[in-house]
Amino acid sequence: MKAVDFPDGAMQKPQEPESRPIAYWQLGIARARALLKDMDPKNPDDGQEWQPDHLDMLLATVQIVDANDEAIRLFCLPAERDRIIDRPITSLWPEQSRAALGDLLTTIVSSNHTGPVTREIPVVDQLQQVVLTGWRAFDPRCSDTVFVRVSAVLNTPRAVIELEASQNRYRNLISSLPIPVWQIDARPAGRIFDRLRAGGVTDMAAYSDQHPEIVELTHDIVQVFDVNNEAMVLFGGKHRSDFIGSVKYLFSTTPGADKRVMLAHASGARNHVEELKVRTFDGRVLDVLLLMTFPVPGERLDTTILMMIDNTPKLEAESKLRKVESDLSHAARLSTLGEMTTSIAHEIKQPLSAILMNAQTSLRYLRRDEPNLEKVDRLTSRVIESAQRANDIIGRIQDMADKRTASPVALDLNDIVRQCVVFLRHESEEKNVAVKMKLQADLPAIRGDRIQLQQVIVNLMVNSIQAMRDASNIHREIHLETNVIENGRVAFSARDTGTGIQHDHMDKIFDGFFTTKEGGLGIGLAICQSIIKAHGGQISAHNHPQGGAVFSFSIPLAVDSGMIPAADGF
Amino acid sequence: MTRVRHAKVFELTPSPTIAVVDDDIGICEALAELLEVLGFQCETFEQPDDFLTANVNGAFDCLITDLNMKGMNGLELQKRLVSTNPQLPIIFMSAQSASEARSQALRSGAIAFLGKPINDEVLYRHIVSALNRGSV
Repeated sequence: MKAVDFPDGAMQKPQEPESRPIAYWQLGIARARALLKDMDPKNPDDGQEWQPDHLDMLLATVQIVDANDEAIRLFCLPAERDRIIDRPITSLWPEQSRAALGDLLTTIVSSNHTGPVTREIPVVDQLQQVVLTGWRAFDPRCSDTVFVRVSAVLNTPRAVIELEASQNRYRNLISSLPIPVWQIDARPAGRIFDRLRAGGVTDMAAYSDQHPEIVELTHDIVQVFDVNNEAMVLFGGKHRSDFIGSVKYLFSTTPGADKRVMLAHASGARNHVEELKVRTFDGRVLDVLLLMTFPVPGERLDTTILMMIDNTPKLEAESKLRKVESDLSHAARLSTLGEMTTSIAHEIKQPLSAILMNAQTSLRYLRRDEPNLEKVDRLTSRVIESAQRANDIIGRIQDMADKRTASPVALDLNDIVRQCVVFLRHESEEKNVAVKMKLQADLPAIRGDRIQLQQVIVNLMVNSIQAMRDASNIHREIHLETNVIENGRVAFSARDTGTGIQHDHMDKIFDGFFTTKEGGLGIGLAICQSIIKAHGGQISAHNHPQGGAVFSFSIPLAVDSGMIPAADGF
Repeated sequence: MTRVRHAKVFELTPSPTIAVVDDDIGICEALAELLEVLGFQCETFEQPDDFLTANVNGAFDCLITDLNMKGMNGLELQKRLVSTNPQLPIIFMSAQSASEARSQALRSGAIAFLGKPINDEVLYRHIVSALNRGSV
């Protein structure tokens, strides 16, 4: 070790032989002071097992104030200085000499004199005979500034050229990728996982349930050290420095994402993919697809690549499509209601007639010389009952007429069938159609939206009623059946005694805008099909051997509720 | 005018009994109460067949029937009565406009075809005229 003279606080390169390049670092230790003082150099890892090691904590708080060109070259730093300045040194300092740097800084802070301290390391990456020399700034106004000088011998001059070339290729590749890329140093978290495993922890998920703090700690210590321009555009950030630092901002908008990412990393997975919501620096919330690739031995372990693909336009398009489907389905319900106007009016007039008569009778009793209040009391109670009945009818119609979003719940299909029969009681009686039900008792629950399924069944029944209206002198019947079929599905079928489906219409009946009805929209069956599909089911039609059309659908049971995609809309 | 006729009815037939046929029990009950306050006796039937069974030996002075009913509608009931009990005056009620049914009912001799909801004064006038015709 040879003593070196330094100009005060200088960053200039002193006269040295060509073979010993000298790198200079100027570091800020204001934030690191507390840690440096607490550190016991003899036992640096005296914390709890789940804590990141002290070195990582320490080096994450030591900021780079400046570095000379030689440092950029020797340490393979990003060529642009703004990508280095103000960054924590943790991800830029070579793995093999972290301990030496930590020791050097601790010694400088703890010693009273301001003279240089040196540490020697035989080999660091491409460098040999590495000598670290550190000293505090002589000017007391800069007491938080430490200089570190690194001199070394390169293995071969060629290595430098190769290194630079490889660094440049890599840097160009990342910065010119047409998708947002974050480069992350996840090694500090990796070291925590290694230590936990060494201590006998095998199930990281269970361990992190018991120690939820570990999630936050690992994300505090895992640092973004570079982003490309696409990432800056995606997040609406103006300065690269806004992106540098803890990865927390990437995962904080999606609950549980930080834990999932941590567990993926701990499991040794190569990749982690999930859909995230992220909040950008200018306040937008984006839906993105997160793609992370963790390095495996043999690769640059200091670089975890994180990419994001903006899914927002795709999700917006899907949401618009759902809206259109919802509008169409609403139009179909209104169309069905429109076809039933006569029977609806009739149904509501019944309780209204009763109300009117009871009120008229009450008035007559009240206007007598001796009003019969007992009668009036009873009649008024009946008025209330009838008004309630009228209200129920209107409520059922409103359910069908309202614009709404679907809400899947556990349902008994038999209940829905019975509700539909009540709904269409007047319509069917008026058209002289007998509705017969054969519903399997104790039907297991399905998962779905009540109004949507009602819409399907009402639609099929109205179609049947209309199909039989055209055929005179027949026995007009609708047979409704429910049962459980194989593969854990519940099936429904509606058979009528009409003229059946024309053979050449069979392939087209579920198509949109196909209709045989005068004034029909031709969307009813198409909507039925899309509703049943959204419930994970299938709908089909055929002619019954004994005449009439049969429409049937099947829907998975509620236990397989995962099969129902988010059926909002409609 | 109504009061005059009212008095006349009571002179002619002291306790006229009116049959009501409607498959809606709410309507049956309300109509029975209205007829009672108007001073008539009344019997209600939810099934047309039950009425036919009860309608023997001039049991009723007037029939008020709904048009749309399960099993047998008002027009079919009228057809049955034309042969078995042609003197019985019939008043139809319907919640529908049903102009075809209306003209058929009136052609076949119905006293009136009233739209639901029914106005009590109008109903009273038609019952009085029905009873007067029946008594002629």
